[in-house]
Amino acid sequence: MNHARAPAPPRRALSWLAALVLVLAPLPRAGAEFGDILFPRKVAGASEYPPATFPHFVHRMQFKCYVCHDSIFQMKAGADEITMEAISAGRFCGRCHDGKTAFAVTFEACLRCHKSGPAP
Amino acid sequence: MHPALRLGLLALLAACACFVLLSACGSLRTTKTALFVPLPPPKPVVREARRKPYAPPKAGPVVEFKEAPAPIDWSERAALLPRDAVGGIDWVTALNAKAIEPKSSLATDGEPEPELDLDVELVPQDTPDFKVTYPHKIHTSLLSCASCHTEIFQMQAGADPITMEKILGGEYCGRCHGKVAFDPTTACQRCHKAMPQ
Repeated sequence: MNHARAPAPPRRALSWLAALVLVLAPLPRAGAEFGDILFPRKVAGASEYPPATFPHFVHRMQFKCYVCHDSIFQMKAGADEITMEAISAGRFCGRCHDGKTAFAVTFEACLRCHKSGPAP
Repeated sequence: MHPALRLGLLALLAACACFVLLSACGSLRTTKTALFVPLPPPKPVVREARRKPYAPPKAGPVVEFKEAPAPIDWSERAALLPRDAVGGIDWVTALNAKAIEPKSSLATDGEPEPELDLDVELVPQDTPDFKVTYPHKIHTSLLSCASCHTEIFQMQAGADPITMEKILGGEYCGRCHGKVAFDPTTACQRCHKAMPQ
């Protein structure tokens, strides 16, 4: 039985696609803003779980700087030992992310902070 | 005894036995009552229903299902904010225009920290054109005094040897500007107001 072969995509279209990918690749991820902080994971499992990205702009739209600094977070990124255990115990992000002030830290909400893709 | 008489007696006995047997098993009550103990009237058989009669189920408590509110698309809201020359959010304009109204406290009745309306002029000795007017007002509307004083800046104006190199290296203003506040390399005139474009 003769199988008709699908026509190969024209090479010009392929090169246009490659050019588009090259142009779009350096653009920051949608929803990213200046001032976002990426917290690289220090424990094992970083490959299967992306690191958390803190969107500064979302929080700046709602709170003044001194609400969090320095009573909850030190100014210097990485100065605080932020762990999921500490957050669940109500420290750091857990001060607000408890389901009342802000969305709770649940299995439904993992990807809201642990976003895939590089931080800008 | 004569054999014929014996046969007749036997036949009579058999007929009597047949009559008794038939009347005991038969339905002739008169014969029965005459021959046997009178039977008590049959009691009506009352059986309980094996299944309870159908009754519609009782209405339970009404539980209202609340759909969780959709998460706010902050990027969509941020897209409405004023932008600076390089596309970053212009927080000062946004705050002054009340496009954002950030809260002063996690508590609902929290008091905002005091604002200080004081402009500090920092004039380089050899290049007065690069004079910087530092506005305390916008900084204290977001930050507390202790955020900067005296870990980053001394209280006395001009006491710190602030240079652009140090700022771009992450010291002094560079502790925030370039990281979360606007990048100093993108907007000279925002600080050096008299500087030519």
